[in-house]
Amino acid sequence: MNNIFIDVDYAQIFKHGQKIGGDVFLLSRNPENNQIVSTLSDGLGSGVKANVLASLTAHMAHRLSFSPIDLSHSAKIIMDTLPVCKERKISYSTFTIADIRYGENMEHIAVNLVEYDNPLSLRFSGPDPVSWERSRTELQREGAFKKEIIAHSAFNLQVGERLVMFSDGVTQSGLGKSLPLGWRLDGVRKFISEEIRKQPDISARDLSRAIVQKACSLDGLSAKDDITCVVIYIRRPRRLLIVTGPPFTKEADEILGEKIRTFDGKKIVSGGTTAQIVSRLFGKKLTLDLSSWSKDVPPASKMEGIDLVTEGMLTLSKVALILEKKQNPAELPNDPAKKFVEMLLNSDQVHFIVGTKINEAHQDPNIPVEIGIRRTIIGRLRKALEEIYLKETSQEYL
Amino acid sequence: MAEKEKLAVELCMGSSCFARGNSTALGYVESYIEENGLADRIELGGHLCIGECNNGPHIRIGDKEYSGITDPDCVIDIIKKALEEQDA
Repeated sequence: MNNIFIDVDYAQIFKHGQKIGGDVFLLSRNPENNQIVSTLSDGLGSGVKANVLASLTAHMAHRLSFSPIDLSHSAKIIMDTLPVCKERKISYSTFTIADIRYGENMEHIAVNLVEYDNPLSLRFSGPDPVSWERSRTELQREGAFKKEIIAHSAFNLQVGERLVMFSDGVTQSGLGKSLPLGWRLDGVRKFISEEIRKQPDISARDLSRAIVQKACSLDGLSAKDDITCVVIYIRRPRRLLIVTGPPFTKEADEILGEKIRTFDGKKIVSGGTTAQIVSRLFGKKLTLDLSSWSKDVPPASKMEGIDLVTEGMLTLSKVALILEKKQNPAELPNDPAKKFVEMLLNSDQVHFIVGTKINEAHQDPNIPVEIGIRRTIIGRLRKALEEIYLKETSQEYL
Repeated sequence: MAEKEKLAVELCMGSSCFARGNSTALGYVESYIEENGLADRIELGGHLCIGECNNGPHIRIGDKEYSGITDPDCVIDIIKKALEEQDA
């Protein structure tokens, strides 16, 4: 698995009273091409009209980025297609496109950035702002009030660097209220720096949320425009190991122990018998913790060196169901399945070691169907993690 | 009077026993202890699979082991009886 992870997420608050946004964010990962494209577009005005325009722009930008046409040329095509507002003589929508390409092992993360009329994007290495050169192309379109400028730049991002893109709802927050000219680019830059300093490994999701929430609070908690922020964060992947099921042969127990010992990341052992094997191998005491369980999920156990020890099949079935239904972990009952889901969502790469020994008692037709075939349940888990939560997963049998 | 030894009640929390009835039994025993203020008389615990899956659900009350009790009321009855024996 890769040793670098590109964490992309965004947060958005619509203009107060609007049920639909004039800011549109699109994200696609295209693993075959080693490419990620993120597009942020802001349509003129707010509500439905703005949403239609921004969606149109974002989708065009997105499609063109995946084509072989170079990005500056794509931007021109979009500009020529976008209508000019009859009354205001300005463009109907703005956009920022970040086209990210990476090498086979995620090394050399190259960003192609095209910006048109959104506030300029910001870059940080750790908490420190990074400035870079942009080349500007001027376009004079028919009926437009002024020449329009498209800024284009290309640069590499290293581990620990972030690229932050946002709509003018962020930079103009607080305008005429708490701040005479709004938050402005300098204010936003300073805020992001401080947030990263406070929490150096803050995720893209948490940082983008912190930014839009701050902007909204500057607006007196009633957003004056759509507020959208996208964060791209290059970091080391957070790894999680899930060990479930006893190995087929007793001789493989040692191999399992070695794999758990050498794994670099968080560890979950799911399965009572498996846990007892690990406990014996590691010479660590295993104690059942009756403090949290529910009707369908047996209590967890505690063991030094393992972050979470749960029962096997019933817990895994419940976890698969929660993931498939996209349930919010914060709203789940406090049982081991909740803890399990939280650990999954806080990881980027999940590796499963699946023991293939079969428990004869589970072949009894009288017990619930949730005690199914381990491999089937792991398959469901991996599918949900990859397709719904965009996690990388892998697996091996023992 | 010397303090009585607590009555150990241990339910198997393995997948099979949990699914076969110990999940309900655990809830029953917990509320029985709470309602009757027996926290100082009963030591409730659990254990992982001990290979009794085919005869489950498996329960240990005091020094006796019980298998295949699917009616949680029966578990309560056995606990009551064990407590009475201790009192006698």
